[in-house]
Amino acid sequence: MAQEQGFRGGAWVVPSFLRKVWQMTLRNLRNDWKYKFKLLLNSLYTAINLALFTVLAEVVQPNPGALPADYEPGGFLKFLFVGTYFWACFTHPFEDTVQCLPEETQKGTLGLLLTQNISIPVILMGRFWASFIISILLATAVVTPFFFILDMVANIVAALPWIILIMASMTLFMMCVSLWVASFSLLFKKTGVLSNVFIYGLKVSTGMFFPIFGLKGSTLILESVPVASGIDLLRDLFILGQPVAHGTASTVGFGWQETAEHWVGFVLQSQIIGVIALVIIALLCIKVYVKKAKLLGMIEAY
Amino acid sequence: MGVTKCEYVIEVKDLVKRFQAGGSFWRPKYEAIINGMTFSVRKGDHVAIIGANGSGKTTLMKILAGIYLPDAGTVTVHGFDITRQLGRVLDHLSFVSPALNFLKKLTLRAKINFYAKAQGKDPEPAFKFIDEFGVANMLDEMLEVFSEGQKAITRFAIALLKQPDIMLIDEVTANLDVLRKEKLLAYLSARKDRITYVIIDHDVTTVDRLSNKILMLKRGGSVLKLGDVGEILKSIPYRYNVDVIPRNVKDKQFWDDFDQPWREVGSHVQFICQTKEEVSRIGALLLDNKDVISFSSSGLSIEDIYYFYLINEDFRGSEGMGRISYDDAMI
Ligand SMILES: Nc1ncnc2c1ncn2[C@@H]1O[C@H](COP(=O)(O)OP(=O)(O)O)[C@@H](O)[C@H]1O
Ligand SMILES: [Mg+2]
Repeated sequence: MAQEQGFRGGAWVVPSFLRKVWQMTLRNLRNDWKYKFKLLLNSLYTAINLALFTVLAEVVQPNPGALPADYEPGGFLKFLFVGTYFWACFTHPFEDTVQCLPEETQKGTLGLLLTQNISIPVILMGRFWASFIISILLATAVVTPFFFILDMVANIVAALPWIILIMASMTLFMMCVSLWVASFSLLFKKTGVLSNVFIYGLKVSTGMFFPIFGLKGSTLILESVPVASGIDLLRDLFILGQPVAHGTASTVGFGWQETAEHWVGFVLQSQIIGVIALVIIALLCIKVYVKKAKLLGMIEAY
Repeated sequence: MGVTKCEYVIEVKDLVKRFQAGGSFWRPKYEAIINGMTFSVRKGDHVAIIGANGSGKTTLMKILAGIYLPDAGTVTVHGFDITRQLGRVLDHLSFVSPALNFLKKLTLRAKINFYAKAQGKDPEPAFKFIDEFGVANMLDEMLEVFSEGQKAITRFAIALLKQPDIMLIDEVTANLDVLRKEKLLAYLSARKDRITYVIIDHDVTTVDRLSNKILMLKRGGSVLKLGDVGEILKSIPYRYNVDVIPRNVKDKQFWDDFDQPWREVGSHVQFICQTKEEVSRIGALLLDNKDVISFSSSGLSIEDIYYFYLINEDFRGSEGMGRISYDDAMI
């Protein structure tokens, strides 16, 4: 026993945490697989988004300088497509994670998980990863034909290691954001509006609807959100196969996008700072709110 | 698993738990469900918690299982503080309750595999348990089609996975058929030297078979009494009872005419006696009475603890109490 406790305090804690997250992920995947109609609708939603953005790019053109000149031809459409692909990967993981605790509570399953030593962060991460695995597979399946049509596949293959690195870091960031917003549902059961505000803000910052570099002055600060900078770098990689300098004279004031190297440095910096900050915020909020919810007797009561 | 570091298996000191009961969002009102509770459970003790509805039995268990945090006081399990070392407590403690549910679209097999792998345990013993209790034919069925009894077996299978040395069992046996219940009680009894049981059950047989200590909760949240079953039985101010099933509902006068203390227990009536002579006298009178379907006489059992203390607490002085006075028996 003494030996066992020694292990618990040290080396075994991390593997057991990861093992639990992975088992939760598998459990959710198995469960989601039973609701195939929902999966179909999700794919349809992505396809409809792509179709609508194709129309948008036909009728609207961004200001000169909002996008790197090298993106042409068809730069705006490609720009929108990468954003759509990204959000097809992350919208459901975010929403599912935020809804996870109220749902498990309503089904009466949260109590059993908790007493089986599966903690709230594990439950939330298991939910996020399951949804992410499903979403990225479906989104990639739907979007890949369009990447072929737009002649982007060669670039994607060339830049694949970088793409995976940036995607991984943004995935971590999105997981932390999801956990953070989900933590509010420990104390407030109806967090739908709040989560909508969050995801809408993030979508705007990532240029889901318009390029951030089309903005002026201090609003450009939006670009330092990890998913905003990360996704703009992703666009470079998808569309050109390599990073390029962003912005015009009016945006150079920010200093980081004069050269491609500056730009990449800025992106990496925002990734690292953003992810670390969010990990701390999310885990802290969960810890405090779990304690509060257990005190109020509302952790498994709906 | 020799966790011998601490004298007590469970130690509860000055525990207070309040829940919001009415009031507004800005000015919530709190009601203490558990108010200054202190007791301890040693190795070898198996405790049945009894108390009227709403006396905080389930709340106490949920605190022990880490679902609620105490508002004041300390709770330790094997010396580990429940608020600071919950993970360690839960490694050895299982909570079995009908309030804990499963995803209904998963199969029993998937469910057991999930909980086994998440704990890093071998699932085989759980499958064996399932087989032993005749639920093996349901392994590949989704949990949504399970009967309450089958769910109860599932709950035990999952609870046993982590080889707990403490099991909290909250009214789980109620939905089991007679045979399975008997089997389960035998199964759990056989493991009494390894597992400390804390149970809540309205069924006297279950309490009798699984526990040797009784923790009586008073409404308003403190311990009315904690003691050996034998000791508590001694505190009851009568020695025998004659349980009568009447043909139809009789008025108070009918029973008063027997000239023996009596009480109503559901549709039964019980005469309570101090001596065997009193039992014989009542027996003789009842034998000839055409308004009586059947009757049986017995010494005191755990049933009497329920009737005496709980009815006493709930209905003291009410009509159903007949002529009996319990005042001198109160602690
Ligand atoms: N999570 C909760 N929030 C608010 N009140 C609660 C909560 N859990 C229990 N209560 C209240 O505490 C009292 C005791 O409940 P419980 O412990 O379930 O009683 P029992 O002894 O019947 O198991 C009840 O009045 C119940 O309404
Ligand atoms: Mg209860």
